[in-house]
Amino acid sequence: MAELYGPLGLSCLLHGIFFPYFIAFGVIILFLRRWEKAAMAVSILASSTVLASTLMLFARHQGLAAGHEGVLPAATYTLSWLSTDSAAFQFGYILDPLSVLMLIVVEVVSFLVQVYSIGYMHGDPGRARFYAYLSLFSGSMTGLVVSPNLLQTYIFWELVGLCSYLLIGFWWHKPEAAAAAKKAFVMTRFGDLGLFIGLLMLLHAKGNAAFTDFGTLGLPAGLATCISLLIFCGVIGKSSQFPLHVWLPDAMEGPTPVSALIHAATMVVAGVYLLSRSAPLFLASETAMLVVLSFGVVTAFVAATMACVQRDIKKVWAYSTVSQLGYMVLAFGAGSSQASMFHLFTHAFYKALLFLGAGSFIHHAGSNDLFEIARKGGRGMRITFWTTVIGALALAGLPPFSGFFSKDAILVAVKENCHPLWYISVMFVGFLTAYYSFRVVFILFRKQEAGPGVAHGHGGHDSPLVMTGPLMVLALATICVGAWEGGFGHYLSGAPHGALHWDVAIPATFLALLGIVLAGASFGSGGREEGVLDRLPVMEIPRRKYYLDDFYYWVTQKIVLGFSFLCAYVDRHFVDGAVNGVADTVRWMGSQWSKMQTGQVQQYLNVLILIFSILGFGVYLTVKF
Amino acid sequence: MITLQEYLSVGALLFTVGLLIVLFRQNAISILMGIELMLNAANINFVAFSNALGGLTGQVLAIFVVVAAAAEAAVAIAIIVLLYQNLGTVDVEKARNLNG
Amino acid sequence: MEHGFGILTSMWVTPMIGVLILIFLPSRYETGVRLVSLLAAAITLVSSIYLYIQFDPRGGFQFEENMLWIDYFGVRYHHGADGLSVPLLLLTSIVIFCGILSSWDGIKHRVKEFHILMLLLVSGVFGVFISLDAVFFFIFYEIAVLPMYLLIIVWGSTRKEYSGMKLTLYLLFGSVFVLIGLIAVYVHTGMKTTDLLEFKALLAANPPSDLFVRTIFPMMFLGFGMLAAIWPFHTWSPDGHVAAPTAASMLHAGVLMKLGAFGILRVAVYLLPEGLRYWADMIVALSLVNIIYGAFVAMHQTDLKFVIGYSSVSHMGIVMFGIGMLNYEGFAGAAFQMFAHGVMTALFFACVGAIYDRAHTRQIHAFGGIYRRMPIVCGAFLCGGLAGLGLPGFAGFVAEFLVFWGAFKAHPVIASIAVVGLVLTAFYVLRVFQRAFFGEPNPKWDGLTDSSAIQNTAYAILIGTMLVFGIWPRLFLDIAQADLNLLLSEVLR
Repeated sequence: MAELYGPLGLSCLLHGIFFPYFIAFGVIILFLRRWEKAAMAVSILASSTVLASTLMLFARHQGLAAGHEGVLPAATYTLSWLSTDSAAFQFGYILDPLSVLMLIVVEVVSFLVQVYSIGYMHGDPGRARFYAYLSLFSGSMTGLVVSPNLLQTYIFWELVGLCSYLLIGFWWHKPEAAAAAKKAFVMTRFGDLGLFIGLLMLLHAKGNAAFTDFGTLGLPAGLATCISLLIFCGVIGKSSQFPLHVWLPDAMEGPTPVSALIHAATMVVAGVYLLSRSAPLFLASETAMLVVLSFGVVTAFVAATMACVQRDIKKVWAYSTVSQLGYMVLAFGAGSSQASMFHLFTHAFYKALLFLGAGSFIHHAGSNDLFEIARKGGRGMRITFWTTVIGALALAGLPPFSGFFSKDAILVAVKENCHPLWYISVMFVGFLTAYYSFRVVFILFRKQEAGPGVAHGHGGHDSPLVMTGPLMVLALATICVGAWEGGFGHYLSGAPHGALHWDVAIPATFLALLGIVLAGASFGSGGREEGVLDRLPVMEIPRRKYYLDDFYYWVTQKIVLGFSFLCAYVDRHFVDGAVNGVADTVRWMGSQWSKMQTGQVQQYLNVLILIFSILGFGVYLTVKF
Repeated sequence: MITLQEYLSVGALLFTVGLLIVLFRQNAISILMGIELMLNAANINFVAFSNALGGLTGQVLAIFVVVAAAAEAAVAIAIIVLLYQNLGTVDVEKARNLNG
Repeated sequence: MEHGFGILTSMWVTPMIGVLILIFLPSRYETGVRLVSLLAAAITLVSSIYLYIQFDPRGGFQFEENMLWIDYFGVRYHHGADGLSVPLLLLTSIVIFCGILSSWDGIKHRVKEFHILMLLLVSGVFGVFISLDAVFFFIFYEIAVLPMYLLIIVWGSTRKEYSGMKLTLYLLFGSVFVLIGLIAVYVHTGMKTTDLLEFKALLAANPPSDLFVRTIFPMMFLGFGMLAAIWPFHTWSPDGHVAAPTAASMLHAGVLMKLGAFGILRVAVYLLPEGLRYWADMIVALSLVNIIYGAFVAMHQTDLKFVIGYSSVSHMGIVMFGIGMLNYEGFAGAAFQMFAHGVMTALFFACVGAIYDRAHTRQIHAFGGIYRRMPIVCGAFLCGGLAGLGLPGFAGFVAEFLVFWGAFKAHPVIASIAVVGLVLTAFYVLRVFQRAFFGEPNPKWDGLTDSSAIQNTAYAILIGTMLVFGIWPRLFLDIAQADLNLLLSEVLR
C-alpha cells in the first residue's frame, strides 16, 4: 500500500523519527561523557527533531485518513535482515494509525521528560550518562513502535528492557537501586521467555511473523491459543501484570523522570501495544481472550488495593500504573482494543503528569514520603499541586478529564461483552482508584508544619519553569485529549463516532465521587496518617504486597540458588571428583609400581636375563616341536 | 684345524663368565671387566664367522667393537672415578640413587 | 591439482616469523617485543579481513594451496578456507590483537617468552582452521594446545600448576581419540592419502559400515568435544580460564574452545555425516545439560573468572545444541555462536584481567561499587554481560536466536527448556553487576584506576565487532550459508 503515500512515502519522516535518538546516544556515550551540557543539548536536539517529525507524520497521516474510506491500510518499509530457507525477516517500519498514535505518545512524553530533566537532574554528576540512556530508550521504544514483525518487536522489547535496567539502576551506588534494576530485568525477562517461545512457535508454524499477516494466518485453534498465551506472557512481564508486577514498584528507585517516561507512559504500555498489534491472533481464540481479561481484572484490583496503603508518593503512582495497565489489558480482553489503546493514550499523559508532579514535590521536599512532603509545604507549590489535582481527577475518572472518557469506553466494552461479575469488579476498582488518588491529594493539601528542619521562605516556591512547563503542557493534554475520543476511534479503527453511554458513566462517576468523599473524610482534616480503609484488618494483605515478594524471595533464594548450589557441589565433587579420582589412582599406582625400582642395576639385569632365558627357552621349544 | 664349533664354544664360555661377573660381582671395576669379557666373546664369534664364511665384514665389525669397548671403558672408568669421589666406594650396591 | 603457496600460508607463517624475530630480540627490549608481536597480530588481522572480503559467498574451499609433502603416506600440504573457517580466522586475529593490547601492561616478567608462546599458539590455531590434510590438522591442533600449558603455569594464578596440568592432560586425552578416529579413517580408505577432501571422496566411493560410523564418529566427537567443554568433560575449562593470564584466557575461551567445535564440523561431521545423524539426540541431551547446568553452576561461583568460565560452558553448549539440531538454523546459529561467543568472552576476560591487575582479587563479594573508579572497564564488562545474556544488538542474540529457532523446529519441548538458560544467564550476570560493580562504593577500592587507552582500544574493537555483526548479521550468514548448507545436505542425505 506504499503507493498511497507517494513514491518516497513517509519513510523520510520515519527515518527522522527512528535514527536521531540512536545517533544522540552514540555521540554522547563516545564523545560527550564529560561534557554534560553538550550531552543535554544533543539529546534534546534529537528529541525535538523526532517530535517535529512525528507531528508532521501525524498531520500528513491524518490528512490522508480524512480523505480515505475506513481505516488507512498499513504500509511497511523494510529491508531483508535475516533469512533462511524456512523464513525471512524484514527490518523496517510499519506505518498505520496504531503506530502513529503510539509514536505521538512516546515522542511527546519523551520530549517533555527530557526538558523536565534539565531541572530535575540539575547538578547530578551523571547527567551525560542519564541523557545517553534516555536517548537510547526513546530510540528503542520508537523502534518497538514501528516494528513490522514480531522479531523486531522482540529485539526492541529487550532493548527497552535494558534501558529500563540501566535507568532504574542509574543511581547505582544505592544498593536498593541496583537490586531493583536487577529484579526488573530478570522479572521481565522471565515473561519474555514466553514471548520468545511464542515467536519461535509462530515461526515454526508459519515461517513468518509479520504483523500485517496476523489476520490471515489460519492457525489451528489450539495453536493460536497457545501462541497468544505465550505472547501474553511477555505482556505480563513487560506491562507488569499480576503476578509479575512486583518489579514495577521497586523500579521507583530510578530517577523520577525515568519513572514517568518508562514506567508509566511508554515502556510498560508496550505490552498493551503489542496486544493491539497482534489482536487478530488473540481474537481467534476465546480462551486467550478470557485469560487476558481475567489477568487484567485481577491486576487492576490487586494493584489498586496496594496503592491505597502506600506512604511513598511514587509507590502510589506505581501501583496505580499497574492497576491502570490492568485496565488496558482487561479492555483488550473484553474485545475492545480501541478502548485499550485509548486508555493507553490518555493514561500516558495524566500518569506522566502525576509522576513528573511527584518528582517536583520530591525535588522540593527531599523525601518520597507523602506526609513529609505535606509537612514541608507541598501545597505551596501551586503549579505542581494543581496540575497534580488535574491528573488525579483524570485518574479517578471524573468528567471532563481524559480518564473519564477512556474508562467509560472500557466499562462499556466490559459491560457489553463479558459476564456481569467482571463489570462489577471493574466498577469497584474505579471506586478504589478514586479513593487512593484523592488520598494523595488530600494529604498533600494539608498545611505546612512549622518546625525544625522546615526552611521558612522555602515553601511557596515552585520548581523552575523547565519542570513546571512540561507539567502544564501535560495538564492541558489531560484536559483536552478526552474530547478526542470519537476522532480517535475513527482514525484507529474506522468505527463511527461513539457517544457517551450514560448508563455506564453515571454509576462510574458516582462511585468515583464516593471514593473521593471517603478519601476526604479520612484524610481531609486533621493530621491522621490512617484512614478508614487502613484500619480494616484485611488491608494487611495488600500492605504485605500479597506475599508475592516473599514468595519470589523464597523461590530465588531457596529453589534457584539451592539448585545452583547443588549443581556446583555435583560439579566440584562428582564430575571433577571423578577426574581427580582418576588422576589420584594413576598416581597411587605409580607409587606402588615404583617400589619395584630398587636402584640395584644388577637386580634389574638378573630379572632381564631370567626373562630372556625363559623366552629363549620358549623359542627353542617352539622351533623344536 | 680348529672348527667353527670350537671357536664358538670358547666365545660362549667367555660370554658366560663375563655375564656371571656382571651379575654377581659388587665391585664396579670387576663388572667393567666382565663387560669387556662379553665384548671380546662377541669379537671371537665375529672373527670366527668371518673366517668361516669368508669376507671381511666380521673383522671390520670386530675392530668396531674394539673401538667401542675402548670408548666404553673410558666413560665407565670416568663414571667409576666419580662414583668413588662421591660415595667413597666402588661397590655398586651402595649406589642406589635410582631407587624409586 | 597443485597450487602454490598463497595467503593462507601467510596466516600461520606470520606469527611464526614473529616468533623467530622475538627469539633473536634481546629480552630487555620489552616494548620492542610487544610491538613485534602486535605487528604480527596486526598483519594477520589485515590478512583475515582481506580474506573475509575476498571470500566468494558461493562457498567451497577457496584460496587453496595443495602440494604433495610425503609421497609414501600421501601427506599433502593442503590448505583451504571455506565459509566456516573464514569467520573463525577473523575471530582469531581479532582476539589475538586485542589480547596483546590488553596484556600490554599486565605482563611484567618474561615478556618475551610470553609473546613467543602466544604467537606460537595462535599460529597453531590458524593452522587448524586452514588445514585440509589430517596430518597437518593434527600437528597444528597440538601446537595450539601445548603452549597453553606453559602460559598457565608460568604466568598464571590460582592453582596454576593443577589447572595447567589438568587442561593439558584433558586436551591431549581428547586428541588421542581424535587421532584414533583419523587413523581409523586412514586405514579404512586404504592408506593412500591423508587429505581430508580425498578421505571424503574415498569414503563416498567405499562407504564404511554402520558400525564403523557409529563408533568412530563419537570418538572424534568426544575428542573434539572435550576442547569444546562438552559435559561432563568440561571441568578443565573453568579451572584453565581462571588460572591463565588475561591474554591467554582470552585466546583460550575465545578461540581454543572453538577449535573443538570447528573440529567436530570440519573433521567428524565432514567425514562421517551419518554419524551425526545417528548421535544427534545424544548430542542434544549433553548440550542441554551444558546450557542449563553450566548456568546454574555459574550462579554459585564467587570468583569473577569462574563465573565467566562456567558461562562459557553454558554458551558452548549452545553451539553443540545447534549442531545437534540437524537443520540450517541450528548449524548457522552454532557457527555464529562460535564467532559471537569468542568475541564476547574475550571481552569478558579482558575486563576481568584489567580488574585483577589493579585490585589483585577477583572475589565478587570483595568488591562493591567499583563502577565509581572504573567506569570504562565496568561498562565494557556490562556490554560483555549483556551480549552473554543474549541482548539484541549484539551478535550473540542472533546466534542464540538462530539456534533456538532451529531447536524449536527439531525438538520444541527441549528447545523450550533450553531457553530457560537465557533467564538464568541474565540472573547470574546481573547478580555480578549488582554485587561487584554497583552498590555502596567500598572505600578499600578508592585507589583503583580506570583502564589505559591501549586497553580501551581493545574493548572498542571487541564491542564494535559484536555490534556490527549483531546489527547486520548477514555479514556473517552470507559468508557461511553456502558451506553450512552443503554440510547439512550431506548429514541429511
